[in-house]
Amino acid sequence: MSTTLIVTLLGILMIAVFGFIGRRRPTADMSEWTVGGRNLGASLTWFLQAGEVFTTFTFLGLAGLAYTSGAPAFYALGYIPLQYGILYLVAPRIWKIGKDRGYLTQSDFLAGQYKSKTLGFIAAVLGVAFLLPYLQLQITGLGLIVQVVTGDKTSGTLSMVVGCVLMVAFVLWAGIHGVATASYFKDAIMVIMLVVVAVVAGAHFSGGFFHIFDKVAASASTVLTLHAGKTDQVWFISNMAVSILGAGFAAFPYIWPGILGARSDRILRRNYLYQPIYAVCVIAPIALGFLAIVVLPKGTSSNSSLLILAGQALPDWAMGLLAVAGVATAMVPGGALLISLSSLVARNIIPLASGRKQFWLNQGAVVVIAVLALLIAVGRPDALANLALLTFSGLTQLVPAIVSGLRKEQPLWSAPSVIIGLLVGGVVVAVMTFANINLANISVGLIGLVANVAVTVACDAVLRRSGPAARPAGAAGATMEKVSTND
Amino acid sequence: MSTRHLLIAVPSIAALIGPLIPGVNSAALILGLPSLLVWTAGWGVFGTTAVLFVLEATRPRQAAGAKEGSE
Repeated sequence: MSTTLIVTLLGILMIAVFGFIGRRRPTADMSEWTVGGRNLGASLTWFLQAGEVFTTFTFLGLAGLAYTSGAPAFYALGYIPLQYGILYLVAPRIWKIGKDRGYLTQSDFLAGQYKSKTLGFIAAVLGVAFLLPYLQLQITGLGLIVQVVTGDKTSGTLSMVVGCVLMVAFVLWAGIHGVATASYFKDAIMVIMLVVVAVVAGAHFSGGFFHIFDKVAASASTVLTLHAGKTDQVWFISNMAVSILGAGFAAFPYIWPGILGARSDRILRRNYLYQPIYAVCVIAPIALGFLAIVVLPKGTSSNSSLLILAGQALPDWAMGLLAVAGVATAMVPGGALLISLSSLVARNIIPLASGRKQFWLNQGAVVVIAVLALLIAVGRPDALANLALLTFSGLTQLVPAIVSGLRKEQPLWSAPSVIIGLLVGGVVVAVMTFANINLANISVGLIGLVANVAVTVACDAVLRRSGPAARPAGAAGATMEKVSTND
Repeated sequence: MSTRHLLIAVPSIAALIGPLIPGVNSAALILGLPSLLVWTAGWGVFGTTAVLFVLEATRPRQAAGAKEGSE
């Protein structure tokens, strides 16, 4: 067994230990497990929310995007911090409504605000369908990291299994508290290793981090700008815009536990003041992706570019630590995804159980979902690739429903209008993605969103004209006590 | 939501129009970093932070008091 693999496996164990110490003893209360009894303090909430942003995509995918496309990768430096401007306004409102009405999931919010279990069910099904591939991607990324740093496929598969089992264990034991405490370790090692790799690789290949782009400008200056092609200005602007809207308006179900679990709305607001600064960390993987353009041979696997580059500049033990940082960016967001997916299943898709039964259904869902994602990651890693393409543009179609549901009195639009708009937006995104239809490089998520809003507004106008009887009032104020007596 | 909250749109709009500005979408380096990166990160990171600090500092006292009380 190599030094790198030993360090990596010890690191995976360490991540799990941090997850386990999130709770002294396990809870059987759904609210406690999912949103920490709505009592998470400032630091737990901070690391929980920051941890959800820095995933394997940020660690490997952005470096890969910079390596293959160049300047288009800068869009992440826009949307990650800019989402917090919207969340500063939206999250405290979601928190207050959620606290008053006992919501634990995004679909609880939609079902309760619109008094429509159908809308809650559809949103939950879409959430599971789009997030399961995202969870699988985290596990696949975990295996890829270990495989690249050890040069051994078996070690990659072994790490996927060990990492997945430990992730399920600490999530079952500690719920959201476990993910939050594991985030402390994850963010610390991730930031340290990104800085180390950026400084060491920068010095090794270009004479210093701030000379990386000098070297790129000298030999491949065209990659520093957006130009005609698939990732032109239109691609950049529309993808940044749709990502800001999707993340800012909390369209992704996995960010809801972090919002609903905060002890107060003040904690959320205060955290959002500083969260944009944290996004500066994203510069490191992007810069390394650019360095890979001028250092690595053409045809190098894009997702492995950061690790291959680091491997040429760091000793084995440091590569082990880098692998641990990468594995943490898979396991911790993976844990948050598991909590989100299982609670959608237990509360909104199979609403048979309540109280304790609901909790055990939820725990069963954690195991089933994780096993499914692991089996796909090991056996057929490309099986859900198409669905993964839809994850963000598809989930962004929930934005109109969430915005309309934030109104104090009753939602701006009726439940049937929102459902039809959501389905139309989803179909537009799916058809354009699978049929490979390119409309001037505009993000399919943005096109779907325009269709979604247009159809929602039109349907609502028709229902209004047909009279109040035809437009079911989605009056806000429903509580989730009917769904769960355990909140 | 009040009109002062529209300030939040300023960094987003500035970051989004960046690629359309010739001087921004260029191969020039500023402090060793590409100009588009500096523009996008500048508005995203520092623009957003500045606007949020202004909004937090100018929150109506009544609303601020009520929220603090809810903790």
